[in-house]
Amino acid sequence: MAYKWENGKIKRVSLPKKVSKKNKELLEKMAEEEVNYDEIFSFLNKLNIKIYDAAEYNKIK
Amino acid sequence: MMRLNIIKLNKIDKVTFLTYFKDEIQNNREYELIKKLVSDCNKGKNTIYILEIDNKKTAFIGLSFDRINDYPSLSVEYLFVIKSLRGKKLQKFYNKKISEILLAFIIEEIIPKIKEYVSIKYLALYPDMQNDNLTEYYLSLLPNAFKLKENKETWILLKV
Repeated sequence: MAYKWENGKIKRVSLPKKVSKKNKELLEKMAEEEVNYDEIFSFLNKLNIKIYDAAEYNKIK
Repeated sequence: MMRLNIIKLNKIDKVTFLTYFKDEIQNNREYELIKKLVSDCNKGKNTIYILEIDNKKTAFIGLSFDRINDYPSLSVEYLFVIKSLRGKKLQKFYNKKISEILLAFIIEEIIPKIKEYVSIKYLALYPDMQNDNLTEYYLSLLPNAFKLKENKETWILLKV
């Protein structure tokens, strides 16, 4: 789901549940891809980001 | 060194949230979209992750589950970066933009955790206003991302 703005109103837009034959083939092909995100986003390690849920975060604030 | 935190939210005080960001929201359209995102979060339709840099909230992303042609997917409902940092490459963050940091974190940290329990095949983004520049920006940011056009809507998909 995502949002789109149409005629001054917000609409939720879903991913297509059925796609064309061409797109189906594309999805099948790409689903087999292996991507090394560790390498691509290696800068993240240098940033040392910490994750909290809201309750946990409020305790340390 | 700057402190970066990501805070996961399932319930939000809408007034406090909107007041916090009010000076960093571009226009009324953006304000209404954020309001809707927060309302949907409070109804359990999405989860919001806020990025905080040195105690200042700078960006957030709303995520929900969806499917594309039966492939389970994680959908970016909305990605917001404060006006003053939007589009800027930050030297202190290795010349990365805030949106890039947030998306990389979702791909590297959140998705693998979800995948320990349920399958996800794609991360999906719907470029706001179907803007071509934004579409190209996401494609340049996310290696192996591809554009899928169906029913006159363009989506950016990334195998995860």
